This record gives sequence, C-alpha cells and structure tokens, in this order.
Amino acid sequence: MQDPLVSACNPLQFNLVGQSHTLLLKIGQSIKNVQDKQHLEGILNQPPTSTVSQALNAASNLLVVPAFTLFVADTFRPLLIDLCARWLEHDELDTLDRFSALCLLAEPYEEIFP
Amino acid sequence: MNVLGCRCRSYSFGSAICRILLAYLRRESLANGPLAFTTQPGIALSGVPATHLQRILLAYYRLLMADSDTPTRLGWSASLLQSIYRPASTAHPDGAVRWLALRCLGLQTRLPETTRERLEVEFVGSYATTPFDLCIGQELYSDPLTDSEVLKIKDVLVDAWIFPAADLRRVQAKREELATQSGHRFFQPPNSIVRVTQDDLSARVTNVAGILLYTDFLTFDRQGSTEYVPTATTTISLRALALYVSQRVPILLTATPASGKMTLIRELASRIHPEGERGLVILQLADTALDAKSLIGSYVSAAVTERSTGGFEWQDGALPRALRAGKWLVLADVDRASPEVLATLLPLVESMRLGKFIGELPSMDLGGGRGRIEGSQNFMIFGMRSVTKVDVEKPRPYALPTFFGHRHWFEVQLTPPSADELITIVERRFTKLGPAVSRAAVEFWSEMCIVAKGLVKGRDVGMRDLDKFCSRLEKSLPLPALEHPTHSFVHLFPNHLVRQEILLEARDVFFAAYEVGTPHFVSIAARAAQALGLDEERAEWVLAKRTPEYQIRKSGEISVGRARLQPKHLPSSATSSKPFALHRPALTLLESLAASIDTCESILLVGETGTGKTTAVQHAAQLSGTPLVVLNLSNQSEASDLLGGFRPVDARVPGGRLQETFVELFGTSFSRKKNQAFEDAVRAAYVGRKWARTVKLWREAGKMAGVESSRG
Repeated sequence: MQDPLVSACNPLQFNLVGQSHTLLLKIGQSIKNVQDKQHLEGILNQPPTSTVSQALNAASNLLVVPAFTLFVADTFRPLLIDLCARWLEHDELDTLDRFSALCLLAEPYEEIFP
Repeated sequence: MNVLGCRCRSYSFGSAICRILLAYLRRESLANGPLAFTTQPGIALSGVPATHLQRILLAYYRLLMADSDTPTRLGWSASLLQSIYRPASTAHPDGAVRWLALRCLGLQTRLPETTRERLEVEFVGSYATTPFDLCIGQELYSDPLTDSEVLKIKDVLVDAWIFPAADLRRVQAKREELATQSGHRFFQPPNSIVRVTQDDLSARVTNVAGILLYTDFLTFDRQGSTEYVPTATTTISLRALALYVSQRVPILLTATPASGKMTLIRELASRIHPEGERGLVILQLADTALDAKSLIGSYVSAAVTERSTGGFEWQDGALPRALRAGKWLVLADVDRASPEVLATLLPLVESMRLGKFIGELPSMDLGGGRGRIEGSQNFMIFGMRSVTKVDVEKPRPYALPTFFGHRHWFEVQLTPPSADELITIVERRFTKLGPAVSRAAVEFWSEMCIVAKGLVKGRDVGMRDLDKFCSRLEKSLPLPALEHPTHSFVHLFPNHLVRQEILLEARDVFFAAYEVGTPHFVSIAARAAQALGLDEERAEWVLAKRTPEYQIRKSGEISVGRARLQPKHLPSSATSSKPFALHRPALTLLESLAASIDTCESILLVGETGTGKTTAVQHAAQLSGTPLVVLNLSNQSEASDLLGGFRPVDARVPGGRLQETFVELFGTSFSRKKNQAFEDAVRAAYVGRKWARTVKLWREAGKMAGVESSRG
C-alpha cells in the first residue's frame, strides 16, 4: 500500500537493466576495460550473469573515465551518490582521474529548488 | 505534499557529492594538495607534461569555484601555485598552465581583481593578444568520415581566456537541464527481475525512505530504532527529514503532542549519526528560568592547584559542546522559548542557511572577545513544536510558526496518522493485544476524541491517551473470546465483568479529570458506556456506587478491586502507621492509584485542602513498602530545590555533625564523669564557634585514646 509518489522516487527502484542498455548503446564500443563491459552486459542477460554489485562497480569505474563522466552521471543519476562513494573504497585507481571527476560533478549537481 | 513532490523530482544530492569530495580530499594521498608532488626533489616543474598539470589545475579551479575555503581549510599551501608561474626562470613553459595557476591563487587567497590582472600581464601575457589552448575535458564524437556509429574520444580545447565564462555557462545549463529532466525512464516497471537492494549499495551509503545519504562510517550493521513503525505518513515525514539532513539546514518538526516526533528523530539518528541515538542532545526550551547566556557558557571558579591560585575559567555551555562534538541538538518546544534564548540561537541557525558554501561548517560567536568556533560537519539542529489544532483538510495541517527567527528554519509537518495506520502502530507496539483488540481500542479512542472535542473547555484527548489506554489493556485484559469480524468490545468480550473493567480503565485515562456528576463527566461516561455495550444503570453503578474489594494476600500482595499493589519488601511492623479509613471513595482512589503505578504513569491529584490526597498516597506507599519522598512546592520554589545547587556553607552544619559523633565516641571510650571538664571545654568552644580550638581538643582526645593523628 505504498504511496506511488514515494515508490516512484525510490532510488532502489532504479531501472538497472534499461539504463545499462542505454549506456552500452552509446559508449559500449569505446569502453577499454573489458571486465567492466562484461559486467554491464551480464546484467542484460536473462538470467543475469553478473550481480548488481558488479554492475554498479563497473558503472563506478566508467564514471572515472573523463570522456564518459557526464554521460554516466546523467544515465545513472539516482544512484550517483552510490557510484561516487564506491571510489572511496577502492584505492588502486588513478587519484588524479577521480579527483577531476569529483570536482567536475560537484558544482552542477547542487540543490535545485523550484 | 505538492512541494515535497517537486523536491522528489529534483533528486537533490549535490551536497552529498560534495561531502564525498571532502572525504576524498582528506585522504593521505592528497594530504598537501594535488600539487604536492612538485616539491619533491628531482622533479623539475618544466619537465611535468602540460596536459597533466592542466588537468590538476582545472580540477583545483572547479573545487575553488564550488567552495573557495576548502583548500585553506585542508591546509593546501598557496605557494605551490605561486611556484608554477613565478619566477620566470623556473616557471612552467605552457601559458595555459600559468594562467590557471594564477586564477586558482587569486581564488584561494582572495586577491583583488586589479592585482590579479596585473600579475597576469606580468607573468602570463595580456588578454586577447596571446591565446592559450586549454584542454577542459574529453568528449565523444562521431567521425563523419568513418563509421558513424562508433564514437571516438577527443580532447575539448578552449581558449583559456574565455574559459571562466564558458565554464559558468556550462554549469548553469547543466543545472537547468537537471531541473527540468523527467525522471520516468530511471525507474522500472514493477515486474522487473533485476532489483537493486540495500545490500548492493556501497557500505557508506544508506537509503532512508528513498533518499540516499552518504555517511563517513560503514553502515552495514545499523538497524533502525525498535520503536519506529513505518507507515505511509511516517515514511513521507522521514523522507522530508532525510532531505533536509543531507543539506545540513535547521529543521523544525511540527505535530500534535505525543505523535512521535522524537521517535522519528531517534530513528534517523540511529541510522545515520556516527554515535547512533547517543548522538542526540535534547534541551527543553519551554523552561522560563533557562538562562540564555548559560547555553553559550559561563565562568566557573577554577580549582586551586599547585600552579594556579584559583580564579575563573571559561566553561563551554551546551551549545558549543554540541557543536564541537558533532552532536544533533534537539530543542523541544522551540516556539515557547523566551526571546533571549531564540536570539542567542539565531546566529547559529543563520550560519546553517541554505545558500552557504558547500564545505562551510556551522559556527557561532562565543561573545565577549572569545572568538568564533566552528563545529563539526555532523552537527544538526532540530526544533520541535507541539500544536494541538489540526486541520486535516488543508495541505499544511498546522498553523505556521510565529516565533522569533522562524524564517530560518525549514519546517516538516507531520500529518496525523489515519485510523488504519494507528491500528498498525498499536498492533506493533502492543503485541499482546492482537489485531482485533487493537482495532477495537483505536475505534474507542476515536469516539472519545470526538466527544472531547465537543466539550466546552474540555481536556483534549490525544495520542498519549491512546498510548496509556493500550498499555493498561495489555496488562489487564484476557484473550478475546472469539475473533468477531465487527471488532467491537461488545463482541470480543461477551463477559460484562471484563467490559466493566475496561470502562474503569477508560475512566482513569479519558475522563477522571472531571468531577463525578458534572455534565462533562456524564456525557463522556455515557458515550463510553454505550461503546462498551453497558446499560446506563450498570455504568452508573460501576462509576459511582461500586466499592472495590480490599484484600491482603498471604504473599504480601494487596489487591484493591482490579489493581494490585506489589510490596517491594515487607513493610516492617516497627513503623507506626496512621489509621486510614478505607471507605468507598478512599478505596476507589487507591484502586486508581494502584492501576497507574502499575503502568508507571504520572498522576495529578486535584482536590480541596485536607481531603486526604497526601494521606492516600502515603498509605499506598506504606502498603507497598516503597519509600516516599514528599516535596512541598510553592511559588518560591526554584529548580535548584529539585536538582541541587551551590549554597554558601555555614560551618555550623558539618561542625554540628562532627560534634555529635565526637560526643558519642567520647562517651564510649572514656568515663564521662571523670572527664566532665574536658567535655565542657569542647562544648564551650563549639558553641562559641572557635573552630580551631574545637578541632584541637578533638585531636587531643584522639591522642589520649591512642589513635594516630590523621588528616581530615
């Protein structure tokens, strides 16, 4: 008996399959890291061959690539905080890339009030 | 609801990203800033590739545009920026790099525009004559010559001089796009197989009623508070709270009394505060004796030590301590606080305004030249307001706040729960009642509410009364006879004796405040009796003519009618008891007292002087063997009478106790007749307040008895 407004804006209702598909359509050919691409493609299979965590990790890695940052941020917008928080857990990636990506995202994605 | 709807669509999480950014920047690898590597030996600045430096400086610039104080707060030295563009011999060859470094320096050190322009001309070049190419990022494009479906990555180059204007435009365009973007494609049809769950999310991100919140600690072992029952209205309120908490603004919570405001805040704290529920600090502002300045702090006398001869030192009050420790400050009854207290709070509330910079911390001035303190970023301030008048039809059910400074607070109004939600809540909290009895209890309570509203100058019936009623029923009711679909007490408990007891409980909770026989009492009693299926005669007998049975069991337990008094320990027979007449009114009173004691309720006895209110309570205490403390309060009473306070010490008070002890010991150690003179001397010194001589005599007696002298 959940209120439809509340459930509609629940980030856990995120359409992972649909948005992964949109992402792969646009940039799938340009993704260099094979593992990330596989994880995202795995989610689209029936039954899925990769877990939700793996897919989100892959999206988080793609967010770091400068060419893809804005597009991934737009496509995965409700879960953007989660993708950024994952960077804090993994230390191996290039620090400069993540620093640039975070600074790029920080300003526009501010509070928007009607 | 409409406002909340718009906010839902905006997915506002900008400040959450900035918090992640700040957490990221505090890591060790960036301890001295992203340019720290330039100070390492063996690195020549001119040898560093221009693209690398451009990327770093670009990110640095964007960070400064978001919050110009962050690098200073993190301790990143501005001299590293300076070494990039000056002196000319060791500066970096690329013009765009020098230009960016100068811009960043200007923002970080707040250089005036003219100074910056002068430096630009000196070290970089002049505007519009020397263009520099700046790479501001990468993008995908489709090459028209080759395959049009495959996108290639290329660098975006922009003239450095027009970069600030271009970047500003980019940010504004992006914000507009985000504000008007429709969100339907983000969310899935309900029958999708792949679902994101809380466990799939990062350990530092919690989903609170649909809002993702970033926390600095790992949240996988955080459960909510046990008292919170999620229903549609509470989820909406929790969501509004979570939204405001992510923006770190002052929140005002408005609802009827006892409707679960504290429960909501406790639930939120237990899920996202580093210390859980212990991170809450609650202040009662309705206390008129609250000193506004003591909230900030006060001077207390310092202890005399070897180094200091004593004096006064500053001790922080509740506000600065909560600020520094990053607690959540909860101000109960903020609308009833005195204007001085509100004026003291206003600067702190203003520092948490919506338009503040991202990394800006809440701060307050301690006054008196003691400087400004900055709080921890976990600090939050909540105000609570209890309003009894509710108009459920309106979008905002409660009247707007009018207290001083209310415009700086962001209000969340808790809609009163619907009847179904109340039944859910009662079922969860009072598990022994069962669904049928819960429903019957809520319906009974609704009827009492309706009658109470119709009374002139009557006492309002609210959620607290429902709480009391249900906890009494939980303790005393047997299981219902059968699960009848009509859910009324008449059918659940066909035995009229049980329903009579329910009527007595209802009287104690809902209308014992009115005197028997007054029109208010009669109208509510009639309605209650009707709901319980008891006819007029029987109801009248129960309420006005019944004498509760008084029985002392062998186990020491005393039963008065439907209630029991459990003695904590057997009352000693040595204590003399005043005779107490157990006539009908006294027994009725004792029964009500015992029932309230059982459920740990606070009781207010109202009556004329000399009618036996205190005596009845003393008798009940004596029967149950509980020690009783009687306090006489009047207009002259102060808070320090109850809590304790500092009083000037008169040496006679402790001195008298010592004298008594001394006389006793003296009498047992020595012969009194032979040492009469000594004892007289001691008494004379004591009465004459010659403390030094008295103490000397005491010590002498001790020595005579062979006791080693000791301090004290």
